[in-house]
Amino acid sequence: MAVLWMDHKAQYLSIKEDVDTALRRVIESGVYILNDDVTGFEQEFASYCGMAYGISVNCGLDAIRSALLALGIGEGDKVITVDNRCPSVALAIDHMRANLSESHY
Amino acid sequence: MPIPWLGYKQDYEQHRETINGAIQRVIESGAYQRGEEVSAFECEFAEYCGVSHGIGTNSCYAAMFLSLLACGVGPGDEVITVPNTDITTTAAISHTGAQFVWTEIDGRTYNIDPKRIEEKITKKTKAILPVHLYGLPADMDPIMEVARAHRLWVITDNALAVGARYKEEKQSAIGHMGCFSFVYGKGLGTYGDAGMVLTNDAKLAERVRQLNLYHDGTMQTETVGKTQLLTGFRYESEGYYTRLIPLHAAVLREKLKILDSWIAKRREIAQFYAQLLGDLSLILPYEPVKCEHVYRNYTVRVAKRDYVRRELAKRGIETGLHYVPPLHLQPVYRNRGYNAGDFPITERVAKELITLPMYPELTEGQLLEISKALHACVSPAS
Repeated sequence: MAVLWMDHKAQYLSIKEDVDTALRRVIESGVYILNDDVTGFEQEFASYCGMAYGISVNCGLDAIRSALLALGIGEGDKVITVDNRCPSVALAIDHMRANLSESHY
Repeated sequence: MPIPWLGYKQDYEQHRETINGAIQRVIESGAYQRGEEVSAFECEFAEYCGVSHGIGTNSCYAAMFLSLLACGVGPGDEVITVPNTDITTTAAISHTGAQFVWTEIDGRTYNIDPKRIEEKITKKTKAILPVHLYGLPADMDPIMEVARAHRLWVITDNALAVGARYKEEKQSAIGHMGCFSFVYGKGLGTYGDAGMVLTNDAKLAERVRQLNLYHDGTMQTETVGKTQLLTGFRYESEGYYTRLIPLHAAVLREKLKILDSWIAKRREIAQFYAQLLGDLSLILPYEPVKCEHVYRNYTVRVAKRDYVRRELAKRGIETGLHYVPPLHLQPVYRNRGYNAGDFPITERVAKELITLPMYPELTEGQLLEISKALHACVSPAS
Protein backbone atom coordinates (compact mmCIF):
# COMPACT_ATOMS: atom_id res chain seq x y z
CA MET A 1 0.00 0.00 0.00
CA ALA A 2 1.30 3.40 -0.90
CA VAL A 3 1.45 5.86 1.98
CA LEU A 4 0.65 9.46 1.06
CA TRP A 5 2.71 12.22 2.61
CA MET A 6 -0.48 14.15 3.26
CA ASP A 7 -3.90 12.65 2.90
CA HIS A 8 -6.42 15.45 2.55
CA LYS A 9 -9.24 13.14 1.69
CA ALA A 10 -8.72 11.02 4.81
CA GLN A 11 -9.34 14.03 7.00
CA TYR A 12 -12.50 14.83 5.08
CA LEU A 13 -13.80 11.30 5.45
CA SER A 14 -13.19 11.39 9.19
CA ILE A 15 -15.39 14.48 9.62
CA LYS A 16 -17.56 14.15 6.53
CA GLU A 17 -20.91 14.83 8.14
CA ASP A 18 -19.84 18.04 9.85
CA VAL A 19 -18.17 19.37 6.69
CA ASP A 20 -21.16 18.51 4.50
CA THR A 21 -23.55 20.18 6.94
CA ALA A 22 -21.42 23.31 7.08
CA LEU A 23 -21.20 23.56 3.28
CA ARG A 24 -24.93 23.08 2.93
CA ARG A 25 -25.59 25.72 5.58
CA VAL A 26 -23.55 28.31 3.63
CA ILE A 27 -24.97 27.51 0.20
CA GLU A 28 -28.52 27.56 1.49
CA SER A 29 -27.99 30.83 3.38
CA GLY A 30 -27.65 32.71 0.07
CA VAL A 31 -24.89 34.89 1.60
CA TYR A 32 -21.49 33.94 0.25
CA ILE A 33 -19.20 36.78 1.29
CA LEU A 34 -18.65 38.30 4.75
CA ASN A 35 -21.41 36.17 6.24
CA ASP A 36 -21.93 35.03 9.83
CA ASP A 37 -19.67 32.04 9.29
CA VAL A 38 -16.77 34.36 8.48
CA THR A 39 -17.18 36.58 11.55
CA GLY A 40 -17.94 33.49 13.63
CA PHE A 41 -14.73 31.77 12.51
CA GLU A 42 -12.67 34.94 13.06
CA GLN A 43 -13.85 35.10 16.67
CA GLU A 44 -13.55 31.39 17.31
CA PHE A 45 -10.05 31.11 15.87
CA ALA A 46 -8.85 34.25 17.66
CA SER A 47 -10.17 32.92 20.94
CA TYR A 48 -8.62 29.47 20.24
CA CYS A 49 -5.27 31.29 19.99
CA GLY A 50 -5.99 33.50 23.00
CA MET A 51 -6.03 36.67 20.89
CA ALA A 52 -8.50 39.54 20.91
CA TYR A 53 -8.93 40.13 17.15
CA GLY A 54 -9.01 37.98 14.05
CA ILE A 55 -9.34 39.27 10.48
CA SER A 56 -9.70 36.57 7.87
CA VAL A 57 -8.08 37.02 4.45
CA ASN A 58 -7.74 35.02 1.29
CA CYS A 59 -4.36 33.35 1.99
CA GLY A 60 -1.27 33.44 4.16
CA LEU A 61 0.53 35.79 1.77
CA ASP A 62 -2.32 38.29 2.08
CA ALA A 63 -2.25 37.92 5.86
CA ILE A 64 1.44 38.87 6.01
CA ARG A 65 1.00 41.63 3.44
CA SER A 66 -1.99 43.09 5.30
CA ALA A 67 -0.08 42.97 8.59
CA LEU A 68 2.94 44.75 7.03
CA LEU A 69 0.65 47.39 5.47
CA ALA A 70 -1.18 47.92 8.76
CA LEU A 71 2.17 48.50 10.46
CA GLY A 72 3.03 51.15 7.86
CA ILE A 73 5.95 49.16 6.46
CA GLY A 74 6.84 50.15 2.93
CA GLU A 75 9.42 51.53 0.58
CA GLY A 76 12.83 52.03 2.21
CA ASP A 77 12.07 49.87 5.26
CA LYS A 78 13.90 46.70 6.19
CA VAL A 79 12.24 43.49 7.41
CA ILE A 80 14.27 40.66 8.96
CA THR A 81 13.16 37.08 8.40
CA VAL A 82 14.61 33.59 8.01
CA ASP A 83 15.55 31.97 4.73
CA ASN A 84 14.08 28.51 5.39
CA ARG A 85 10.51 29.45 4.86
CA CYS A 86 7.78 29.49 2.32
CA PRO A 87 8.44 32.19 -0.32
CA SER A 88 5.18 33.96 0.51
CA VAL A 89 6.91 35.63 3.47
CA ALA A 90 9.49 37.18 1.15
CA LEU A 91 6.84 37.99 -1.43
CA ALA A 92 4.74 39.86 1.09
CA ILE A 93 7.77 41.90 2.12
CA ASP A 94 8.79 42.57 -1.48
CA HIS A 95 5.27 43.59 -2.43
CA MET A 96 5.56 46.37 0.17
CA ARG A 97 8.67 47.53 -1.73
CA ALA A 98 10.50 47.04 1.56
CA ASN A 99 13.88 45.28 1.75
CA LEU A 100 14.23 41.73 2.88
CA SER A 101 17.03 40.89 5.22
CA GLU A 102 17.55 37.19 5.72
CA SER A 103 18.84 35.69 8.90
CA HIS A 104 20.00 32.15 9.65
CA TYR A 105 17.94 29.87 11.78
CA MET B 1 -44.03 38.26 -1.04
CA PRO B 2 -40.92 40.46 -1.19
CA ILE B 3 -39.05 40.46 -4.52
CA PRO B 4 -35.27 40.45 -4.02
CA TRP B 5 -33.04 42.43 -6.38
CA LEU B 6 -30.76 39.47 -7.14
CA GLY B 7 -31.62 35.80 -6.82
CA TYR B 8 -28.58 34.25 -5.14
CA LYS B 9 -30.21 31.08 -3.97
CA GLN B 10 -32.66 30.32 -6.73
CA ASP B 11 -30.13 28.75 -9.07
CA TYR B 12 -28.95 26.45 -6.29
CA GLU B 13 -32.47 25.34 -5.56
CA GLN B 14 -32.96 24.43 -9.22
CA HIS B 15 -29.61 22.71 -9.74
CA ARG B 16 -28.93 21.36 -6.27
CA GLU B 17 -27.91 17.86 -7.36
CA THR B 18 -25.44 19.04 -9.98
CA ILE B 19 -23.83 21.61 -7.70
CA ASN B 20 -23.61 19.25 -4.72
CA GLY B 21 -22.07 16.68 -7.06
CA ALA B 22 -19.38 19.14 -8.21
CA ILE B 23 -18.49 20.13 -4.64
CA GLN B 24 -18.39 16.51 -3.53
CA ARG B 25 -16.20 15.63 -6.52
CA VAL B 26 -13.56 18.18 -5.46
CA ILE B 27 -13.66 17.38 -1.76
CA GLU B 28 -13.29 13.70 -2.41
CA SER B 29 -10.49 14.23 -4.93
CA GLY B 30 -8.20 15.52 -2.21
CA ALA B 31 -6.79 18.16 -4.64
CA TYR B 32 -7.74 21.56 -3.30
CA GLN B 33 -5.17 23.93 -4.79
CA ARG B 34 -4.09 22.89 -8.25
CA GLY B 35 -5.74 20.10 -10.08
CA GLU B 36 -7.71 19.39 -13.17
CA GLU B 37 -10.87 21.27 -12.24
CA VAL B 38 -9.14 24.64 -12.56
CA SER B 39 -7.36 23.98 -15.84
CA ALA B 40 -10.49 22.34 -17.28
CA PHE B 41 -12.61 25.37 -16.37
CA GLU B 42 -9.96 27.73 -17.77
CA CYS B 43 -10.07 25.88 -21.09
CA GLU B 44 -13.85 25.55 -21.15
CA PHE B 45 -14.50 29.19 -20.33
CA ALA B 46 -11.86 30.45 -22.81
CA GLU B 47 -13.41 28.26 -25.48
CA TYR B 48 -16.91 29.48 -24.61
CA CYS B 49 -15.69 33.03 -25.26
CA GLY B 50 -13.72 32.06 -28.37
CA VAL B 51 -10.38 33.06 -26.81
CA SER B 52 -7.19 30.96 -26.63
CA HIS B 53 -6.01 31.42 -23.02
CA GLY B 54 -7.79 31.59 -19.68
CA ILE B 55 -6.16 32.06 -16.28
CA GLY B 56 -8.41 31.60 -13.24
CA THR B 57 -7.98 34.10 -10.41
CA ASN B 58 -9.58 34.60 -7.02
CA SER B 59 -11.42 37.79 -8.10
CA CYS B 60 -12.02 40.17 -10.98
CA TYR B 61 -9.91 42.70 -9.08
CA ALA B 62 -6.97 40.24 -9.21
CA ALA B 63 -7.66 39.58 -12.90
CA MET B 64 -7.42 43.31 -13.65
CA PHE B 65 -4.40 43.86 -11.41
CA LEU B 66 -2.45 40.97 -12.97
CA SER B 67 -3.50 41.98 -16.51
CA LEU B 68 -2.22 45.51 -15.96
CA LEU B 69 1.05 44.17 -14.55
CA ALA B 70 1.39 41.73 -17.46
CA CYS B 71 1.07 44.67 -19.88
CA GLY B 72 3.90 46.37 -18.00
CA VAL B 73 1.71 49.06 -16.40
CA GLY B 74 3.40 50.56 -13.35
CA PRO B 75 4.59 53.75 -11.64
CA GLY B 76 4.59 56.77 -13.97
CA ASP B 77 1.97 55.28 -16.32
CA GLU B 78 -1.62 56.36 -16.84
CA VAL B 79 -4.68 54.18 -17.51
CA ILE B 80 -7.91 55.64 -18.89
CA THR B 81 -11.19 54.37 -17.42
CA VAL B 82 -14.68 55.58 -16.44
CA PRO B 83 -15.88 57.15 -13.17
CA ASN B 84 -19.09 55.04 -13.04
CA THR B 85 -17.53 51.83 -11.84
CA ASP B 86 -16.70 49.97 -8.70
CA ILE B 87 -13.65 51.05 -6.74
CA THR B 88 -12.02 47.69 -7.52
CA THR B 89 -11.35 48.97 -11.06
CA THR B 90 -9.43 52.03 -9.90
CA ALA B 91 -7.83 50.14 -7.00
CA ALA B 92 -6.41 47.60 -9.46
CA ILE B 93 -4.83 50.47 -11.41
CA SER B 94 -3.54 52.31 -8.32
CA HIS B 95 -2.03 49.15 -6.83
CA THR B 96 0.27 48.78 -9.85
CA GLY B 97 1.64 52.24 -9.01
CA ALA B 98 0.01 53.78 -12.12
CA GLN B 99 -2.49 56.67 -12.15
CA PHE B 100 -6.04 56.25 -13.39
CA VAL B 101 -7.52 58.97 -15.59
CA TRP B 102 -11.29 59.18 -15.89
CA THR B 103 -13.17 60.01 -19.04
CA GLU B 104 -16.86 60.69 -19.75
CA ILE B 105 -19.45 58.01 -20.55
CA ASP B 106 -22.06 57.74 -23.30
CA GLY B 107 -25.49 58.78 -21.98
CA ARG B 108 -27.32 55.97 -23.76
CA THR B 109 -25.11 52.95 -23.15
CA TYR B 110 -23.57 54.14 -19.81
CA ASN B 111 -20.26 52.80 -21.16
CA ILE B 112 -17.05 54.69 -21.97
CA ASP B 113 -17.59 57.19 -24.81
CA PRO B 114 -14.97 56.23 -27.46
CA LYS B 115 -14.98 59.83 -28.74
CA ARG B 116 -13.85 61.11 -25.35
CA ILE B 117 -10.80 58.85 -24.99
CA GLU B 118 -8.31 60.67 -27.19
CA GLU B 119 -8.58 63.94 -25.24
CA LYS B 120 -7.28 62.11 -22.16
CA ILE B 121 -4.26 60.50 -23.83
CA THR B 122 -0.85 61.82 -22.75
CA LYS B 123 2.69 60.55 -23.22
CA LYS B 124 2.19 58.54 -20.02
CA THR B 125 -0.94 56.69 -21.17
CA LYS B 126 -0.33 52.97 -21.35
CA ALA B 127 -3.78 51.37 -21.40
CA ILE B 128 -7.53 51.89 -21.75
CA LEU B 129 -9.76 50.02 -19.32
CA PRO B 130 -13.39 50.03 -20.55
CA VAL B 131 -16.00 48.61 -18.17
CA HIS B 132 -18.87 46.72 -19.85
CA LEU B 133 -21.59 48.07 -17.61
CA TYR B 134 -24.76 46.24 -16.63
CA GLY B 135 -24.09 43.50 -19.24
CA LEU B 136 -23.63 45.63 -22.37
CA PRO B 137 -20.21 45.70 -24.09
CA ALA B 138 -18.60 49.08 -24.71
CA ASP B 139 -18.25 50.13 -28.35
CA MET B 140 -15.02 48.19 -28.97
CA ASP B 141 -14.20 49.01 -32.62
CA PRO B 142 -13.46 52.72 -32.12
CA ILE B 143 -11.76 51.93 -28.79
CA MET B 144 -9.40 49.44 -30.47
CA GLU B 145 -8.79 51.98 -33.23
CA VAL B 146 -7.70 54.67 -30.75
CA ALA B 147 -5.58 52.05 -28.98
CA ARG B 148 -3.88 51.03 -32.22
CA ALA B 149 -3.19 54.64 -33.21
CA HIS B 150 -1.55 55.37 -29.84
CA ARG B 151 -0.07 51.92 -29.17
CA LEU B 152 -2.12 51.32 -26.03
CA TRP B 153 -3.30 48.13 -24.37
CA VAL B 154 -7.03 47.53 -23.99
CA ILE B 155 -8.00 45.65 -20.84
CA THR B 156 -11.73 45.20 -20.38
CA ASP B 157 -13.65 44.85 -17.13
CA ASN B 158 -16.24 42.19 -17.99
CA ALA B 159 -17.41 41.67 -14.42
CA LEU B 160 -21.02 42.35 -15.45
CA ALA B 161 -20.91 41.11 -19.04
CA VAL B 162 -20.12 37.39 -19.05
CA GLY B 163 -21.33 35.95 -22.34
CA ALA B 164 -22.03 39.34 -23.96
CA ARG B 165 -21.33 39.70 -27.68
CA TYR B 166 -19.97 42.56 -29.73
CA LYS B 167 -20.60 42.19 -33.45
CA GLU B 168 -21.99 38.72 -32.82
CA GLU B 169 -18.82 37.47 -31.15
CA LYS B 170 -17.95 37.15 -27.51
CA GLN B 171 -14.23 37.54 -28.18
CA SER B 172 -14.74 40.94 -29.86
CA ALA B 173 -15.84 42.34 -26.50
CA ILE B 174 -12.54 41.41 -24.86
CA GLY B 175 -9.76 43.64 -26.24
CA HIS B 176 -6.19 42.51 -25.55
CA MET B 177 -7.16 41.13 -22.17
CA GLY B 178 -10.57 40.54 -20.62
CA CYS B 179 -11.22 40.34 -16.89
CA PHE B 180 -14.19 38.42 -15.51
CA SER B 181 -15.91 38.08 -12.18
CA PHE B 182 -17.57 34.88 -10.98
CA VAL B 183 -18.64 36.12 -7.59
CA TYR B 184 -22.17 35.10 -6.69
CA GLY B 185 -24.88 37.27 -8.20
CA LYS B 186 -22.95 37.70 -11.45
CA GLY B 187 -24.16 36.11 -14.70
CA LEU B 188 -21.97 33.11 -13.90
CA GLY B 189 -21.29 32.96 -10.18
CA THR B 190 -19.93 30.63 -7.51
CA TYR B 191 -20.30 30.64 -3.73
CA GLY B 192 -17.56 33.17 -3.04
CA ASP B 193 -14.97 35.23 -4.92
CA ALA B 194 -13.59 34.07 -8.26
CA GLY B 195 -12.44 35.58 -11.56
CA MET B 196 -10.52 35.00 -14.79
CA VAL B 197 -8.22 36.67 -17.30
CA LEU B 198 -8.81 35.86 -20.98
CA THR B 199 -6.39 36.72 -23.76
CA ASN B 200 -5.32 35.57 -27.21
CA ASP B 201 -1.72 36.64 -26.53
CA ALA B 202 0.36 33.67 -25.39
CA LYS B 203 3.07 35.86 -23.84
CA LEU B 204 0.60 37.90 -21.79
CA ALA B 205 -1.09 34.67 -20.70
CA GLU B 206 2.22 33.23 -19.54
CA ARG B 207 3.06 36.39 -17.62
CA VAL B 208 -0.34 36.34 -15.87
CA ARG B 209 0.19 32.68 -14.97
CA GLN B 210 3.54 33.50 -13.38
CA LEU B 211 2.06 36.36 -11.40
CA ASN B 212 -0.95 34.31 -10.36
CA LEU B 213 0.75 31.21 -8.99
CA TYR B 214 3.85 31.75 -7.01
CA HIS B 215 5.35 28.35 -7.38
CA ASP B 216 3.64 26.75 -10.30
CA GLY B 217 6.20 25.13 -12.55
CA THR B 218 8.89 25.61 -9.95
CA MET B 219 8.78 22.12 -8.50
CA GLN B 220 11.59 19.78 -9.49
CA THR B 221 10.74 16.13 -9.31
CA GLU B 222 12.07 12.71 -10.20
CA THR B 223 10.06 9.57 -10.75
CA VAL B 224 10.77 6.67 -8.43
CA GLY B 225 8.55 3.70 -9.16
CA LYS B 226 5.06 5.11 -9.23
CA THR B 227 5.95 8.06 -7.03
CA GLN B 228 6.83 11.57 -8.11
CA LEU B 229 9.61 12.52 -5.73
CA LEU B 230 10.05 16.21 -5.06
CA THR B 231 13.71 17.21 -5.22
CA GLY B 232 13.44 20.97 -4.77
CA PHE B 233 11.78 24.25 -5.68
CA ARG B 234 13.27 26.88 -7.97
CA TYR B 235 11.69 30.30 -7.82
CA GLU B 236 12.32 32.44 -10.88
CA SER B 237 9.75 35.14 -10.16
CA GLU B 238 7.48 36.56 -7.46
CA GLY B 239 3.75 36.19 -7.82
CA TYR B 240 0.64 37.23 -5.95
CA TYR B 241 -1.03 33.97 -4.92
CA THR B 242 -4.36 34.98 -6.43
CA ARG B 243 -5.37 31.60 -7.84
CA LEU B 244 -8.82 30.26 -8.51
CA ILE B 245 -9.47 27.25 -6.28
CA PRO B 246 -10.82 23.92 -7.60
CA LEU B 247 -13.95 24.09 -5.44
CA HIS B 248 -15.11 27.21 -7.29
CA ALA B 249 -13.86 25.93 -10.65
CA ALA B 250 -15.95 22.77 -10.31
CA VAL B 251 -19.13 24.72 -9.48
CA LEU B 252 -18.46 27.11 -12.35
CA ARG B 253 -17.89 24.26 -14.82
CA GLU B 254 -21.37 22.94 -14.06
CA LYS B 255 -22.97 26.37 -14.27
CA LEU B 256 -21.18 27.20 -17.54
CA LYS B 257 -23.21 24.43 -19.16
CA ILE B 258 -26.40 26.25 -18.14
CA LEU B 259 -25.18 29.80 -18.82
CA ASP B 260 -26.57 30.27 -22.33
CA SER B 261 -30.05 29.27 -21.22
CA TRP B 262 -29.80 31.73 -18.33
CA ILE B 263 -28.72 34.52 -20.70
CA ALA B 264 -31.64 33.70 -23.00
CA LYS B 265 -34.00 33.87 -20.02
CA ARG B 266 -32.56 37.25 -18.95
CA ARG B 267 -33.10 38.60 -22.47
CA GLU B 268 -36.69 37.36 -22.41
CA ILE B 269 -37.29 39.07 -19.08
CA ALA B 270 -35.77 42.29 -20.47
CA GLN B 271 -38.17 42.12 -23.39
CA PHE B 272 -41.10 41.57 -21.06
CA TYR B 273 -40.02 44.52 -18.90
CA ALA B 274 -39.85 46.71 -22.03
CA GLN B 275 -43.42 45.73 -22.95
CA LEU B 276 -44.73 46.28 -19.44
CA LEU B 277 -42.99 49.60 -18.84
CA GLY B 278 -43.16 51.16 -22.32
CA ASP B 279 -46.02 53.50 -21.37
CA LEU B 280 -44.14 55.12 -18.46
CA SER B 281 -41.79 58.08 -18.50
CA LEU B 282 -38.73 55.93 -17.86
CA ILE B 283 -35.55 55.53 -19.89
CA LEU B 284 -35.21 51.80 -20.56
CA PRO B 285 -31.91 50.07 -21.46
CA TYR B 286 -30.48 50.74 -24.90
CA GLU B 287 -29.08 47.86 -26.95
CA PRO B 288 -27.05 49.05 -29.97
CA VAL B 289 -27.40 46.89 -33.09
CA LYS B 290 -23.77 45.74 -32.81
CA CYS B 291 -24.16 44.41 -29.27
CA GLU B 292 -25.90 41.64 -27.41
CA HIS B 293 -26.78 42.79 -23.91
CA VAL B 294 -26.74 40.00 -21.31
CA TYR B 295 -28.76 42.05 -18.78
CA ARG B 296 -26.86 41.27 -15.64
CA ASN B 297 -28.89 44.28 -14.55
CA TYR B 298 -32.02 45.85 -15.95
CA THR B 299 -31.47 49.61 -15.78
CA VAL B 300 -34.19 52.26 -15.78
CA ARG B 301 -33.70 56.00 -15.44
CA VAL B 302 -36.39 58.01 -13.73
CA ALA B 303 -36.64 61.67 -12.68
CA LYS B 304 -37.72 61.24 -9.02
CA ARG B 305 -35.44 58.28 -8.47
CA ASP B 306 -35.25 58.22 -4.67
CA TYR B 307 -39.01 58.59 -4.32
CA VAL B 308 -39.59 55.72 -6.76
CA ARG B 309 -37.10 53.48 -4.93
CA ARG B 310 -38.85 54.13 -1.64
CA GLU B 311 -42.28 53.42 -3.14
CA LEU B 312 -41.02 50.10 -4.53
CA ALA B 313 -39.33 49.28 -1.21
CA LYS B 314 -42.68 49.83 0.58
CA ARG B 315 -44.08 47.04 -1.59
CA GLY B 316 -41.16 44.76 -0.81
CA ILE B 317 -39.48 45.25 -4.19
CA GLU B 318 -35.72 45.64 -3.96
CA THR B 319 -33.84 47.81 -6.45
CA GLY B 320 -30.15 48.38 -7.09
CA LEU B 321 -28.30 51.70 -6.81
CA HIS B 322 -25.04 52.07 -8.70
CA TYR B 323 -21.98 54.26 -8.42
CA VAL B 324 -23.61 56.89 -6.19
CA PRO B 325 -21.69 59.11 -5.91
CA PRO B 326 -19.46 58.36 -8.92
CA LEU B 327 -15.80 57.64 -8.16
CA HIS B 328 -14.52 61.17 -8.91
CA LEU B 329 -16.69 62.50 -6.07
CA GLN B 330 -15.71 59.81 -3.54
CA PRO B 331 -13.88 60.83 -0.33
CA VAL B 332 -10.92 58.55 -1.11
CA TYR B 333 -10.23 60.49 -4.34
CA ARG B 334 -10.92 63.99 -3.01
CA ASN B 335 -7.34 65.13 -3.57
CA ARG B 336 -7.16 64.05 -7.21
CA GLY B 337 -8.29 67.44 -8.54
CA TYR B 338 -11.75 66.40 -9.73
CA ASN B 339 -14.93 68.33 -8.91
CA ALA B 340 -18.69 68.04 -9.22
CA GLY B 341 -19.56 69.02 -12.80
CA ASP B 342 -16.46 67.42 -14.35
CA PHE B 343 -18.47 64.52 -15.83
CA PRO B 344 -22.02 65.87 -16.32
CA ILE B 345 -23.39 62.77 -18.07
CA THR B 346 -21.98 60.39 -15.45
CA GLU B 347 -23.35 62.60 -12.68
CA ARG B 348 -26.82 62.88 -14.23
CA VAL B 349 -27.06 59.13 -14.78
CA ALA B 350 -25.96 58.59 -11.16
CA LYS B 351 -28.91 60.73 -10.02
CA GLU B 352 -31.51 58.91 -12.14
CA LEU B 353 -30.53 55.29 -12.54
CA ILE B 354 -31.86 52.27 -10.67
CA THR B 355 -31.79 48.61 -11.55
CA LEU B 356 -34.85 46.40 -11.22
CA PRO B 357 -34.80 42.78 -10.02
CA MET B 358 -33.18 40.64 -12.73
CA TYR B 359 -32.38 36.93 -12.61
CA PRO B 360 -33.44 33.98 -14.74
CA GLU B 361 -35.73 32.64 -12.03
CA LEU B 362 -37.98 35.76 -11.88
CA THR B 363 -41.58 34.74 -12.51
CA GLU B 364 -44.17 36.41 -14.68
CA GLY B 365 -46.20 37.09 -11.54
CA GLN B 366 -43.26 38.93 -9.95
CA LEU B 367 -42.67 40.96 -13.12
CA LEU B 368 -46.35 41.99 -13.21
CA GLU B 369 -46.14 43.01 -9.57
CA ILE B 370 -43.05 45.15 -10.27
CA SER B 371 -44.82 46.74 -13.24
CA LYS B 372 -47.91 47.50 -11.14
CA ALA B 373 -45.77 49.10 -8.45
CA LEU B 374 -43.98 51.28 -11.02
CA HIS B 375 -47.27 52.33 -12.63
CA ALA B 376 -48.41 53.54 -9.20
CA CYS B 377 -45.47 55.91 -8.72
CA VAL B 378 -44.06 56.88 -12.14
CA SER B 379 -45.88 59.31 -14.45
CA PRO B 380 -47.07 58.13 -17.89
CA ALA B 381 -44.87 58.76 -20.92
CA SER B 382 -45.60 62.16 -22.43
